[in-house]
Amino acid sequence: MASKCQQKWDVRNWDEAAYKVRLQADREESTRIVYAARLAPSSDFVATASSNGSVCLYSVASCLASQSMDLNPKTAQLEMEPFLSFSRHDGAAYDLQFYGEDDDAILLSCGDDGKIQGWHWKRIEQGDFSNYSDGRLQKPDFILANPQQKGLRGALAPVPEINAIATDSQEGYVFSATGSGHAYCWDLEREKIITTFEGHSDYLHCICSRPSQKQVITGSEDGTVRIWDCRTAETIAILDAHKAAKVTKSPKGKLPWVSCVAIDSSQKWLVCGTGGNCLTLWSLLSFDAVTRICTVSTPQAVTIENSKIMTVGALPYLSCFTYNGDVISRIRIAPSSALSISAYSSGLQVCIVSGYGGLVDIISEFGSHISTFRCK
Amino acid sequence: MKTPYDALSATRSTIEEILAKILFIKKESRNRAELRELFTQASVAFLNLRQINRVILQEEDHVKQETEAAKLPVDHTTLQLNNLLYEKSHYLKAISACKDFKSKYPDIELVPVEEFYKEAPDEFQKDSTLRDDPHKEMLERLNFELYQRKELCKQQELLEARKKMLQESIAARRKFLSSLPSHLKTLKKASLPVQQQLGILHTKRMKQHHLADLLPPPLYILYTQLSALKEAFNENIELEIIGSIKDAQALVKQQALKESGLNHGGNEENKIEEEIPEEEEELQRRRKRVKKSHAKESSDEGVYHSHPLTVVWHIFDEVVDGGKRTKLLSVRFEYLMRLNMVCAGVEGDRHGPLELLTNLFPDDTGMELPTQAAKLSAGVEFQYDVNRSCHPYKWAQHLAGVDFLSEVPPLVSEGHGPSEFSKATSIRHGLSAYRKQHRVQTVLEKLRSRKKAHLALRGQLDTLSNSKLPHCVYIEVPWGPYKSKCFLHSWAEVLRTGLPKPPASLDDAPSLNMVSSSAEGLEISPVNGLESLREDGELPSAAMMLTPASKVPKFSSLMQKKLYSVKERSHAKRVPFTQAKEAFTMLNNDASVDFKDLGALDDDDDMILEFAGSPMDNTNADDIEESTNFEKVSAWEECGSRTFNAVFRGEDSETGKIIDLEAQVKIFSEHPVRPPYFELRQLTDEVTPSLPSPPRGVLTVTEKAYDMPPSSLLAFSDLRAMEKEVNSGIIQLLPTSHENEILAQQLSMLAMLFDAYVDSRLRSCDQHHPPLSVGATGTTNVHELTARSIRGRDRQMQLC
Repeated sequence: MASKCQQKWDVRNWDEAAYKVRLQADREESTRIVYAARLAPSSDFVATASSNGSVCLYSVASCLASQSMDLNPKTAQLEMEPFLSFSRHDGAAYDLQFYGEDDDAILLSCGDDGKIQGWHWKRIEQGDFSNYSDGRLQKPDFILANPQQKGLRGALAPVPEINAIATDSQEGYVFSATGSGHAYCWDLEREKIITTFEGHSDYLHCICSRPSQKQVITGSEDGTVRIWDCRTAETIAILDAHKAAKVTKSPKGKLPWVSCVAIDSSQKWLVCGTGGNCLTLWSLLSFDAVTRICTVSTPQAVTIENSKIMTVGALPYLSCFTYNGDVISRIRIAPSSALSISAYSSGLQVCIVSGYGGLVDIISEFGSHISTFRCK
Repeated sequence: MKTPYDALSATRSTIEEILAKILFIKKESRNRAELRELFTQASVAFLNLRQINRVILQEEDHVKQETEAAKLPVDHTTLQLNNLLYEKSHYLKAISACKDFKSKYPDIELVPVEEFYKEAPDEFQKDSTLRDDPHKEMLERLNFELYQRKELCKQQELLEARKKMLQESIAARRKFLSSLPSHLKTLKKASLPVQQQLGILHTKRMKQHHLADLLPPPLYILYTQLSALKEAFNENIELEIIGSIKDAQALVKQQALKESGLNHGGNEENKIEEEIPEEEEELQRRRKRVKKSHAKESSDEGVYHSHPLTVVWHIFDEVVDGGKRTKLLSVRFEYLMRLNMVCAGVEGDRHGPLELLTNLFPDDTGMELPTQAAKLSAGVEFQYDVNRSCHPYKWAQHLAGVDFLSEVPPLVSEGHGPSEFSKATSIRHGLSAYRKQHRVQTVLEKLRSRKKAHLALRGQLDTLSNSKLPHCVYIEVPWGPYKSKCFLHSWAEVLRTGLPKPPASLDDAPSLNMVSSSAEGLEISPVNGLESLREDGELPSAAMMLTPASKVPKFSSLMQKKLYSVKERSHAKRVPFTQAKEAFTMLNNDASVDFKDLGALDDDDDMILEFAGSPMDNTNADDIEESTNFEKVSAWEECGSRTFNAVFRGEDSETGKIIDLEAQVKIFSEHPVRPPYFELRQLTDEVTPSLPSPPRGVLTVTEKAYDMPPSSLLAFSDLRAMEKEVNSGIIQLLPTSHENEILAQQLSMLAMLFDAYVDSRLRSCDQHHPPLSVGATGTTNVHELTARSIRGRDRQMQLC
C-alpha cells in the first residue's frame, strides 16, 4: 500500500495533514482484528467481521487467483479489497453467522453496539447490492437491537455488546450471547426476543445451539458453561470448565473465563476452552467431562469437525486433537493470535482462521495454506 | 471726278494729235491756213498742260503736307505699339518664370492635413474657407509648421542648455565618484569591525552574491530561491557560500574554453578576478579549513567529485526572543558534478537523537541516487557511500530544481543553439512551478519542526536514560493527571546493524571507528538495571528460543552480510555480546516477531505435522524467518530509526509480586510525524496456572510444545490492545501543537494502561475475592452496579 501512493509524498505537493491521516490509517490497519471469518453457504465468499465494525465479503475465487500468481511467501500475504462491504457496526463486529440453507440463508452479524444485523443472502446473490458501486455501505435488511438493562434508580445501563450468535434454522431462532450476561433467543420471523436466559454472573463470551435437544450452550466470563432449555429458559446443567466438573450453582471463586464452546455434528460432544489454558471435552449425554487438554496458549476459538477438535489461541498455531487429547497436527497459521475458526467438511473442504493483524487464513484439510490475505 | 493725271494724259494726247496733224500738213504743204488754226489749238493745249502740271504739283505738295502731318501720330502709335509688345514679352517671360517657379515645400515634411486640423489653433479649424482653398490651407499648414518648428527649436535650445548643464554636473559628479571608491574602501574597512559587532554582514552578503555567479546551476537556483525567501519573507535564515573561489573560477574558465574558442566571458572573469585580491585575504583562512575537508573527499575523485563551492544554509528559530536568535541547524549543500545531483548534510553538531535529514519527506533515505541519469552514469552496482556527510536526498534535488534543469551535468552537455531557447522556457516554467509549490517554505518548515522535535526528543531521551519518565506539558489527556503506580525500571538502546546508518560527523571520525566486527554489531547500552535485564532475560527467553549459542553464529553471519557502521553514542557503554543477545532475544521470540511482520509465512512452515512430544527441528525455518525480517527492516521507514528497550515495573501491592512490562520502542526518523512504535511483552512469568485436579475419570492430557510460552498475567490480547492505544489511539488525543512530546505522552499513557491492566487482571485472578456479590438489588446481574471493566471477545479493558 505504501508503495502504491509513494509518488504523492514529495516536496512538490506536500500535504502534512493528509500524510498524518494516512499514517494513522496505516497504524490502525495494522491493529485490526478479524473476529470472525466464515464461508458463505454457496462457498464462493468468505464473510468477515472485524474490529473496526466492518462486515465484508471476500471472493474466494479472486483470493485463490491472486494467491497462485505469487509464490513468494513474503508478499503472498496480499491485501484484499472486499468484494462487498456492509454497513458497519459501531465499535467492533464480534461475530457473524449464516442462518439457514442456500437461498433462504441470512447473513447475521453482531457487534459491540449490541445489534444484530441481517442481510438476506438471496439479495446478495442476485447482485442486488452490486448496483451500489459508489462505495456506499449496504444497509441491513433488519436490525435486532439488544435490550438495555435497568440499573439503579431506573437508569439505563450501557448497551451490552453481543459477543456471539448461534442459529437454529429449523425453529427460526437466533441466539445471542450478550455483555449483560443474558442470552437471548430471537424469533427471526417476528424479530422479537422470545426467551431470555438469565443466570450467568458475568458477561457471555460464546454461544452454541443444540437444535436436536432444543438446547443452547453458553460460555461466560464467570468461568462456567451453562446448558439451557430453549423452551423453558431453565438451566439444565452448569459446567465448571476449569475444574472439568458439573456443578449445581455458580462457583464462588473467580474462574478463568470460558472463551469458546462448540459441539460436534452429532450433537453429542461439547468442547469448551477456558482462559486457564485448557480445553475440556464433555459428553452431552451425561454432562460429564471426558478429557481435559492443557493447551499451550489460551484457546480463543474451537470447533469439532470429523471427530477432530480444532482450536486456535494466542499463538500462531492451529492445533488438532483427538477426543483423547492426542495431538493430530499443529499447523502454522498467519495470524499471530487467532480469534475465530470455522471448518467445513462439505463443499469447499477448508478451515478458515482469522485474528490479529486483520489476517484471514484459509487452510485446506491437509494443512496447506490455500489463501492468506489481509483485510482492507 | 477727273483726276489731274487723267487730264494730263488727255491733254498730252491732244497735243500729240495736233502736232501730228501740223506735221502732216507741212509735209504735204497743203493749205497753210489750216496750219495757223492748228497752231493756236496747239498753244491752248500747252497752256492746259501747264495748268494741269501745276495743279498736280500743288496737289503733291498738299499730299506731302498731309503726310507730314499724319506721320507724327503714326510714329507715336508705333512707339506705343513697340512699348506694348515689349511689355507683353516681358509679361510672358514673367509668367513663364512664374510658371517655372519651384516651391520648397515638397521637401518639407509637413504634418498631414488631418493632424493639422486637429492640432492647429481653433481659428483655422473654424475657417471653412481654408478647406476650400487648398493653397491657403497649404500656406496655413506651412505657417503652422514653421511655428511648430520654431517652438521646437526653442525647446531644443533649452534642452541643449540643460544638457550642457547636466554634462557639467555629471563631470563634476564623475570626478567625485572617481574619488569615491577610495573613500568607500576606507569606510568599508573602518566599518568591518562594526559590522561584525552588530551582526550586519552586508559586505559579506555582497561578496556572497558575487560568488553565486560561480555556482553550478542547481546550487545557483537553490541559493537564489533561498535568499529570495529570506529577503521576501524576512525569514530567519542565513546563507553562505564557502569553498575555493580559485577552483571555481578555473572551472568556469575550463567550461568557457570547452564551449567555444571565443573568450567572450573574459571581461567578466577579469572583473571577478579584480575582486579576488581583497576577498582573498579574508577567505584565506576559511579556505584552508575547507580545503582540509575537501582533501579527504577529493581523494575519491570521479563519482564523488563535487563542485568546489558549497552552499551552507543556517536556519534560525522563527521566534526572536530578546533579539537573540537561536540557531537551529545548518545544512550544507554540495553539488556532485559527475552525477548531477545535490547532496545535503547537516553542518556541525550532528549528535542529534536521530538523523535530521533522513526521510524528511517519505521515502527519502538519501541512500539511493535520486535521478535516473545519475543511476545510469554511476552504474548498476553503485551504492552511495553511507559514510559521506552529505546525501542526495530527493528534497535537495527538488530544492535545487534538478528536476526541471537538464538531467545532464552542465560540464558535459555540449549542445547549444535552437535547444537553448526551449531549455530556457522549460526552466522558466520549472521555476514558476517551483515557486507555486512553495518548495523552500515547505522544506524550511519541515526542517524547523524536525529540529525542534529532535531537541524535544533529546530532552526526553536524556530524562529516560536516567530511568525517569519525561515530564509532559500537555495534561488534557486521560492520563495527564494520573500518577502511575508502576515506574520505569530501565531504558536502554538496542543498537542494530541491519540498517545502513550514516555515521556521525566527520569531525569525530577517529572516535567513530566503524563497528566492523560482527560480535559488536549487536549491542545494547544499558544505563542501569543491567542486572535485572540479565536475570529476567534469561528465564523466559531460554525457554522459548533455541539456545543462544546456536543462534549467535546465525546472527553474526547475517550481520556480516549487511554490515554498516553504527553510530556510537557517547553515553552508551558496551556490553558483552551475549548479554546483549539475551536482551534482544527477548524481543525476538516467535510471537512478537510474527506480530511484527504479521505472519511472514515460510513455505517450510506451511504444514508441520508434529506428534505430541516429538521435538521439531525448526532451525531452518527460523533462519529464513529472520532473514526475511532483516530484509523488511531495510524499508525506508526504518532507515535511521532507533530502537529502545524500556522496562516498566509494577508491583502487586498485596502480594508484593513484581510485574515487568518490556516495551520495545522504535523511534522513526520521521518522528514525530510517524509516532514511535511500541511493541510490548511481559517479562516476568508470574502466574503459572496450575489446573485444579479434575474429578476422577477425566483424562488429562497436556499439549507439549517446544516453544511453550510462559503464561503471563497480561494476555496476548491485552498487550495488543495496549499497543493499539499507545501506537494509534494516542494520535487523535494529542494535539499537533504538542506532538513533539509524543514519546513522553506515549510512555505515560503506557504506564497508566499497564497499571489499569495489571489491576484488572490481578483482580480477576484473585479467586478469594469474588468481584460480584449477588443479591445487592435483588437482580441476578450486578454488573450494572459495578461498572464492567472488560468487554468483548478479546476481553478489552474499558477505558474511560
